[in-house]
Amino acid sequence: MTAEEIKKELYENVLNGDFDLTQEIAQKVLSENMDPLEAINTALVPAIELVGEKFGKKEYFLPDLMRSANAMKNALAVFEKEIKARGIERKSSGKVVIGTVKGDIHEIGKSIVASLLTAKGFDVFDLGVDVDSESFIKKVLEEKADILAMSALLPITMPYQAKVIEDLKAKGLRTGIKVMVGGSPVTQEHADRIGADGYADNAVSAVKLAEKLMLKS
Amino acid sequence: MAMTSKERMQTAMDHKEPDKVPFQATFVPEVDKILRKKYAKKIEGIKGKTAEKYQGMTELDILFGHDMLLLTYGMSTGYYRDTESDTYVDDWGIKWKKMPYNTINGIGYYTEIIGFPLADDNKIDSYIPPDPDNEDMGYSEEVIKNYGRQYYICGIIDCSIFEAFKYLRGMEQSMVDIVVNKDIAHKIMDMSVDYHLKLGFKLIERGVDLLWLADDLGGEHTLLMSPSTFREMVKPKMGYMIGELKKKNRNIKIAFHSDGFIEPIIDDLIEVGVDLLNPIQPESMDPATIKKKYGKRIGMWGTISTQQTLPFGTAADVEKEVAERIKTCAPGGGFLLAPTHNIQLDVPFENIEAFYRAVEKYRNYPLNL
Repeated sequence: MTAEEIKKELYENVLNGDFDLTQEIAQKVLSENMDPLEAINTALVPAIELVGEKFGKKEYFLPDLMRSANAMKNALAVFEKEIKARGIERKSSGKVVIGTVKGDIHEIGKSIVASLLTAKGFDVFDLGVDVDSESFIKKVLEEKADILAMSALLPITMPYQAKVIEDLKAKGLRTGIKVMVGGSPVTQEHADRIGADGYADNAVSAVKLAEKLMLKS
Repeated sequence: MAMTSKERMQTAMDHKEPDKVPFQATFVPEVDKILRKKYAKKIEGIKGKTAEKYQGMTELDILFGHDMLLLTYGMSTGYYRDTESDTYVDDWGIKWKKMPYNTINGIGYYTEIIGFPLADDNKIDSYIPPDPDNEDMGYSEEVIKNYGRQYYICGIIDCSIFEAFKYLRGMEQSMVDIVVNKDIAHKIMDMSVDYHLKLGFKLIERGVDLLWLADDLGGEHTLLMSPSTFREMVKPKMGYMIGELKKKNRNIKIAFHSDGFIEPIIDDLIEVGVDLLNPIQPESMDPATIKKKYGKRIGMWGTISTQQTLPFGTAADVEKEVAERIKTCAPGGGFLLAPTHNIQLDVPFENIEAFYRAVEKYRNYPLNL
């Protein structure tokens, strides 16, 4: 197999979400002495972008998106290990602290956003679910994060996104960080009302938003 | 002559206009408690709730004049358990956690799943689901004895197929299984179908008018799975279940609940025999459009926003929404007006009152809107 063919195999594997086979293909990429960074940028990223596009067009649905995200994560784990071993740096797109807000344990949407951000080169610090304001702020400070991304899946946990923003303001940290919010009941109006820097209604637009916010920072 | 609630619902279910638009509402346990306290005098002597495990009809249904009474059975009796500890395990081995939240009306709890009994592949083959014969049917017998002649009775056997699978296997894993590990998906969903079907038979024997199946298949603006995955994996099981229930009693009506946007599969639901669709969340699907496109072939139950209007709107907004829905969805019958979910603790009391006032004001047929 040529390098191009292996790359294509990896691309199609992510596109089709055959995640059981992904690790093996990723290993094959490395054993052919291909640059893991190049494999990420020329196979994984375009594949997951197409998955996102298909999701936006309702050709793909949540299960399809998840199996592709799983495949991508499996490959990424292999490549990142190699990148570390070789002592090369993957250029960071930015640092993102992400989590689902306190009182809310809905995981899926937030995790998909985290995976896609990771694929696009962001350093993602996923705090999980039911995250309180103190933990968000502590991590933001520790990592000197560029972006704080908060998910809320319940109308009653949406106000907590506002609370975290208020706490950031009270600590004089608001100007140093971009805040993005999401979650199915969340709207652009809500984001505007609570003073967030951005809102995205799906994982793919969340990545685009993060990239846009990085340009502004 | 005025109709009984039962006649009103039966007429509406036949897609004809009764004397008034039938309606009902349900409350989260905290709101139920507040209202029962507030109306303690008025509900004195009304026969109501006796069994805590079975959420469903209470004295308030009778006081507020709801046309349909609910009897909750099956997996969803795991919701909202009133326990001392903040976690509990239900009959299925599902571990729930009470998640507190603050509202204008005090602290409430949602119960969320934190432990999925079949998350581990190795547990699946040896898993024994609860026995439907252990369910206490005395509760439904009592309600039907007290109210079955006057009111339309709905037996709830929700979390019927895919929802049960999610609760047993895990939210993320079930989404992946439904397209990757189809054998596992079939096995677990079939187990739930068997269980809920047996319960459905028991409820039919007791004399319910309607059975409520539910599977959340919609996200806010998109289906959770593709229509083709639904048609391959879930729809045949729904068809089987509904077919068996209607074989048991051909007059039984079937309601189906899915939150969110499910328009691409409404024709499929009609095809497998769903008579009444709940809740038509206005944030996800425009009720007037659904009425126009599907209203002659399927009834509509719900449409009043519990996500936006009831908690965040004014009393005037609530009245406007009730009037609008009656105007656009009630013509020709086939419409049961209700909030799109339990009325939540964050709903201002004025809005609950406004809901009831507006229903009373606009519900008479012939419509005057």
